[in-house]
Amino acid sequence: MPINTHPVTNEDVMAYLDGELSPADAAEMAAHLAQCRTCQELAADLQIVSRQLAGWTAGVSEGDGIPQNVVAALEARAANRKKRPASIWSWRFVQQHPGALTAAASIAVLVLAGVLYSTLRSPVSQPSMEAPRAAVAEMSMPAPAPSPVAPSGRTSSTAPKGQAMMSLGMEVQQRPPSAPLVVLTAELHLTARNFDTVRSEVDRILLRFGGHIAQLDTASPTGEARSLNATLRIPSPQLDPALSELRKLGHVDGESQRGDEVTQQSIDLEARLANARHTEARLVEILRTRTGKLSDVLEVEEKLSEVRGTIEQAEAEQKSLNNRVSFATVSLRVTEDYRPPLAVGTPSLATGLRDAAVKGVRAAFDGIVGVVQGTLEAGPSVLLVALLVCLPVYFVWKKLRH
Amino acid sequence: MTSDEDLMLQFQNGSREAFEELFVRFRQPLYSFFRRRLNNDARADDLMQETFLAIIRAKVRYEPRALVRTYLYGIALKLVSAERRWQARRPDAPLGYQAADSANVDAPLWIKQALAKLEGMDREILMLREYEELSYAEIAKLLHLPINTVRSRLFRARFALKNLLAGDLCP
Repeated sequence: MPINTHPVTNEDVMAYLDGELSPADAAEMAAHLAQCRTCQELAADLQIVSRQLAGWTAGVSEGDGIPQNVVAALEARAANRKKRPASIWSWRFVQQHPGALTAAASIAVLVLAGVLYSTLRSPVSQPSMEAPRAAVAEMSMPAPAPSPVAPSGRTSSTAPKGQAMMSLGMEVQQRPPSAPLVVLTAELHLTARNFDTVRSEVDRILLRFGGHIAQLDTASPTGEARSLNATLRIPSPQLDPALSELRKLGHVDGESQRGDEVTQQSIDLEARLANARHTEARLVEILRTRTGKLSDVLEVEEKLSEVRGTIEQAEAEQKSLNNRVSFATVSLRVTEDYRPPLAVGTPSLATGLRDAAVKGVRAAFDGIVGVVQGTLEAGPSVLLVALLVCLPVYFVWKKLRH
Repeated sequence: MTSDEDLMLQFQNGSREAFEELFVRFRQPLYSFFRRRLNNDARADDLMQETFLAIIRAKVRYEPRALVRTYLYGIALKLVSAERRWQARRPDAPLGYQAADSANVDAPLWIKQALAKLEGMDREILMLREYEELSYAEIAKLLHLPINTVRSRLFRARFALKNLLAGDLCP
């Protein structure tokens, strides 16, 4: 077969014979073939090959009509189709809805990945103050009273169960007269890295929750950690969220909360006040209606003065008690995370070499641990992402193929 | 005349007559396809029927953008590959493409021998063009090759076959 060196390639001649050229190209090729002997020879050779191949007849398939097994499959398929639509669990449904299935699988994988991620990312153990509260929060809660404001968020062992149920920062709207009154106190010890912003952050938190500073002391000794000691008064219902904000100021070194029930004290106070007012009213009535000796009048007035003093004292105590119940007291101590500079002299050559060797080994070990950790952390995610990408691509590819 | 693609769509919608018409149209081409590649009458018939059974089972997957004959030969190619793999696992089975088969009197032996000497993919392209009369584009799609590769390989196969037939193999 001659090799064509014309601008018209051998494959073009072959494509012309196979009818694969466009009409314009075919016309050009026909004109070229009419005058090019080399291309004519090539075309003739190609046609000879085709004619020789056509000599292979493959025989005839025997039998009349559609074979029985094909008919049976056809009828079974038709019967199955009439009987029921494709079940969502059937392979036919998978074949009919590859896209829907891919989307469902992707969503399922995403949800699973999210759950796994949040599970793996959540801290293993936390100071367990929130969990028991959440559990308590789901219990039935007695209706609280309006005044004095009942406290919330108690974890004190002295606080009664009903009071504990009013925790979790819920606003107390109503309380039956028999509901207990609890005075809340909390202590929080923090170590703050960014000590300079602590004061302003405390002010911001107090402003946000409607609290105030009862006392505040700061100390900045030379060469030592600075510290801040403060007594904060925060509305009792806001104690929990305020403590949460305060904890963010630094590392929590210690924390305690206490709830002292003062219900009985309040009742006693009210009784004392009522008796005193009753006595005052009777003495005033005696003074108004009775006449007698001057010494008797003076004695009654003296008694009246005593009773009025008792009333004022009781009222002050009641006011103070209400104030203590309404506002929780938080003792906050914040210490600076202070690290005094090391006075390091020039190390000797041997020490330097030893330090370098230790650092090198440690860096190598850290590197290995880091690689292992990275692989363990990223591996499942990479697999999931690969799965998410590959599944739709696989289905699309499969679909395109057919 | 109703096109193959319309018949397939009718069959998808449950028309048995459409399937029967498709069977009539493609029975012989498919039989020849398998017969030339396997040199076994019975297996060729079996696989022809398997092809139609596959269509019945997977008719919902057919989309009109593909020609029916491309779709059918795609299934047939997979069946041939599976058959060859099965044969390869059986020590007593004849391996691969059958060149010399004295029992087949319908083809000149020298043509089969010449075809057997071609490289596998070149031979497949040549046979799909010469016997199944598929276009270059259809062959490219079936074999997952670029169309220019199909063109160049087809010319190479024809050129090689011409030399083989002109040489010792030719009677």
